[in-house]
Amino acid sequence: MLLELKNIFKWVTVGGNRVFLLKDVNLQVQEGEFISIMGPSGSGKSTMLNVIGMLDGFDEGEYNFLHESVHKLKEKQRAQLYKQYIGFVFQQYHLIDELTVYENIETPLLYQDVKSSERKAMVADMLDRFNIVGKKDLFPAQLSGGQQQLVGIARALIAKPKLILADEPTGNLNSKQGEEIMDLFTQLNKEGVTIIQVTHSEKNAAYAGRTIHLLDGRIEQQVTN
Amino acid sequence: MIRNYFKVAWRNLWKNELFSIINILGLGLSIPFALLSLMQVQSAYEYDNFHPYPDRTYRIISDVKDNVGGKIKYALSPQTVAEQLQQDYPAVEKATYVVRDFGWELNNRIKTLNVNTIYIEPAFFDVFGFKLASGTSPVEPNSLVLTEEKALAFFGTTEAVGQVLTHSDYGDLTVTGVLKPYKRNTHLRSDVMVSMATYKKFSKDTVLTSLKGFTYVLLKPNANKANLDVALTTVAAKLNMHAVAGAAKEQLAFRKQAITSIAPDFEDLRGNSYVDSMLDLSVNFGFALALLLLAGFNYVNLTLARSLSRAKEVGVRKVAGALRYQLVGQFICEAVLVAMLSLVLGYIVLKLMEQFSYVNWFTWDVDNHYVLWGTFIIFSIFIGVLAGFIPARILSRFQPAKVLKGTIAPSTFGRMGLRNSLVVIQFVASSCFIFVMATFYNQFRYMATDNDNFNRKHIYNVSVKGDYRLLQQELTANKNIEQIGLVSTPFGGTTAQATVKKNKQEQYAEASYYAADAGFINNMKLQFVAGNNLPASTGDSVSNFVVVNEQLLATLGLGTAQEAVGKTILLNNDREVMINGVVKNFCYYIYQFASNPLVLQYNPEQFHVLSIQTKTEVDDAVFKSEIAAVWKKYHPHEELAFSNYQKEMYDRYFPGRDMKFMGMFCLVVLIIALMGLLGIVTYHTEKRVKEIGIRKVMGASVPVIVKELSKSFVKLIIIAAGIGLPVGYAICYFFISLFAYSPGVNLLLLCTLFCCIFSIALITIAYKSIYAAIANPVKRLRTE
Ligand SMILES: Nc1ncnc2c1ncn2[C@@H]1O[C@H](COP(=O)(O)OP(=O)(O)OP(=O)(O)O)[C@@H](O)[C@H]1O
Ligand SMILES: [Mg+2]
Repeated sequence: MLLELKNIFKWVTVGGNRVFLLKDVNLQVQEGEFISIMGPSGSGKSTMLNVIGMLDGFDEGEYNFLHESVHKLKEKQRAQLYKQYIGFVFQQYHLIDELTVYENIETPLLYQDVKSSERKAMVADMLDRFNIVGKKDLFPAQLSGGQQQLVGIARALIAKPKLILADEPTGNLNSKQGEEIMDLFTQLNKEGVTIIQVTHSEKNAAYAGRTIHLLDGRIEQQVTN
Repeated sequence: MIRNYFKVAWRNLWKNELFSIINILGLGLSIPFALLSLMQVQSAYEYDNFHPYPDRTYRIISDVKDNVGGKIKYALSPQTVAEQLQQDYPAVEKATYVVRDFGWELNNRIKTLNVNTIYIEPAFFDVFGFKLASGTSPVEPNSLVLTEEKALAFFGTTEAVGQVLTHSDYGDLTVTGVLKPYKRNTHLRSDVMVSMATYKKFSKDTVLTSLKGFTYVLLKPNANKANLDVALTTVAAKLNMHAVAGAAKEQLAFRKQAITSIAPDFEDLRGNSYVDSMLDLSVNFGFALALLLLAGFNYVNLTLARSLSRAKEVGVRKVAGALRYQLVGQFICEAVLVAMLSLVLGYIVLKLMEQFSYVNWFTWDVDNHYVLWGTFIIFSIFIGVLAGFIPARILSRFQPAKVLKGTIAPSTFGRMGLRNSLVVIQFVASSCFIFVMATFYNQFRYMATDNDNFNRKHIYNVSVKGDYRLLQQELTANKNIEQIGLVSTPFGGTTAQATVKKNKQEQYAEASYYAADAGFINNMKLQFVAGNNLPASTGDSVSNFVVVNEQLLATLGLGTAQEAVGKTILLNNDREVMINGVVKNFCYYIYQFASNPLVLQYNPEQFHVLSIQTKTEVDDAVFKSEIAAVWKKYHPHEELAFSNYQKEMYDRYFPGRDMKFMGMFCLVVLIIALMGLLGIVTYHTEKRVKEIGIRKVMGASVPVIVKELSKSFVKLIIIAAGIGLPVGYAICYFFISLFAYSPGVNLLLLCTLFCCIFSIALITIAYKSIYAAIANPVKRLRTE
């Protein structure tokens, strides 16, 4: 098993009242799975993804990731675990504007102290694979949305994570670009990468093996496709 | 990793040119002052590093303990120490004594120059690294060596051996040699070195323990240095025994000080001429640091203001696995890069400053440039780290989940409170600074142009020697001349001392003494509160009438001015004189100090200066030639010494170069504060471009938008004004109260400056706001 959420609660206190963002969430994810998370706006999809990605904490429950109890780890150990195994893809791409395509992709490696020569090889591989070798010296502003998202995914993949978390990766793209990204995910999944994506589109959700439906911070339904 | 940091930093600099320029310019303008003070510190450490035996040359310094436990440290020591060390201690190879003398003027029959003087013994040239270019060291009484520079100034050539210079008290002195140029940074800095025999010939001080000069010891190559300490203890013990017999209450103790560690002076030794004390150096450096701090505020402020745009980057990097310390490192790298670029700019500015504001109490160069650049670079890195630290801490704290979602409102970035107070502090600091400088300027100008204490206008001074009467008589015929007075030395210079007593039985008091005639007192327009001017006299004998100031009455307890007139006092313990008139207290010497008792007496033997008052404004050159023509008749071999009193006093008191330097400093302070404000205002208006566009489309008028945009900044400036004026006034009041004679704090001047500073600030705000408000909204919205 890759990760397991047990009775996760997350809340904020507004005017003395607890507002629950996640309510008793239980989830098991096996290595190599492809999961979609769906639900109406405000249902807690991004919140759940951030909890899984360790970008955000939770208030109650247990979270085990590869036999590590995430809720017991210190901030620093969590960051260590996270940067080794998890890659993030965002709807707004979130590339660093001041860096070129090449440098954006290279960034995670810098934080993992990968040697320079090795870095070069890994980035070159990735550029090759995504067919963006010609664009490596451009800045994000000089790319189309789809191309930017490709770079975003390349960046998420560069450190060879076990798990990719994607929050509406196709939200800002047209349907053709979206399809390309989905094909890419399927391809990656076949290579063994576990993928959890948030999406509003039934069509994209169908690429996954399992769909989780959220409503008001609660898992309402899990459907195996 | 670091390379990546710098790459991003570099691109960030280019992307935000305005902010980069503000930061680099601000730091670049303030760094030179810090570099200059670093240079002073380094050069202090490079003092006296050219002597041949640095490892075994020592100066002997003295601790004087009084019988109540007080201890005063002197750089000086008694003359006998060197003699005893040389005679009785075999470990000592050479011991030599040096006496510094002040206020020397030498004359070569044509011109008189001030010279910086020390008395030396023949061994001096064996112990120290000074070399003679020609001639021999001075041994005989009334012989000296001088620098090439002075040789050129006196004789127009460096071949000066055998020439003669005259000192007013010591007579003719023969030049026996000319010194090779030497490094200026030595505590033995001097223009002429006179034989110790000359000193011995004229010195009247015979007290064995009096601290008159400096003792230096050169130990034998393999001598044990501890021997010297033992020797010093023994010498001190002997001297103290001797002194007890002579009933002196003080105990002497001696210490050795390696020649290389004389400067900087950590102990604040007395009599330590030409050695910078660590305290002074630190104060200097403190000012420079304060300026850097102001520029650093800009950096902090602007970086935080832009934090919104940096937040996303922080989030992304954290998601990419960056730990907090790595982000802190990155932001600090950026600050260091800015500091480095500022260093480059600052160095250029420093060179320009050296060119255009030569202030001679600074050292503008040092020996070891590696050390200098090492210090500069380390210092810049330090400044960068300092400036980068606060923004780095704040920026790196952002949580990626929040910033990437965009739920962090702009106001939570970098604390508006912190930023606002930085702006206020900058403006308060810069206005206070400018106020203080203006007040000093005002004081110096007052001292330079004052005619209230004594009259300088239309006065010319001519030095006379011997019999001046014929000259005086003939000059009286000149149609321009109103009146000629006679005086020992003009006011505003050094004064002669005398003692005064109410009568034989009373304690005496010190008084300043001027030999003067009635004409001089008229010329000076002194204000009489009672009695009359000295009786007009042309006789050869000393008069029994004196004019005194109110302070003398107070000191001697002679009652009111009216009562005092006609009373007699005892002058110099031997002559009864009658008070003929009392003048108001006025500043005749140093503005810092309240006036001493003053005595003016007709005393023809001491008249050295003709104080000539002209009827109207005259042309200096023409008038001088008229006087010179008459002078030539009586003194065919001597040059006329002639000065325009008003100009002379102006030159003496107005520190033009220093003021220029301080003015530059003020300007930099103001520029930094304004640039900081400009940066912040620009940032805030740019952030609101879209909002302004929408408001305009909805029909808001330009004035409404300008008001909206500038409101919060105007409020800041008004707060700064409210603090700055009273605080500035208080500081100025403190400084001006250091002067006994001053025009006071010029409130009008402060208010004017104040209005200037704040109008400039307001203009900056208005300019930016109006610029943003009149821009075409449609265009703006489209680019969004
Ligand atoms: N810090 C917070 N304080 C209060 N409420 C919050 C906070 N963070 C999130 N929420 C609320 O939690 C709910 C879930 O938010 P979340 O971003 O997970 O929704 P989502 O399912 O991703 O929606 P969308 O599809 O629009 O992205 C929302 O109702 C949001 O208003
Ligand atoms: Mg969401």
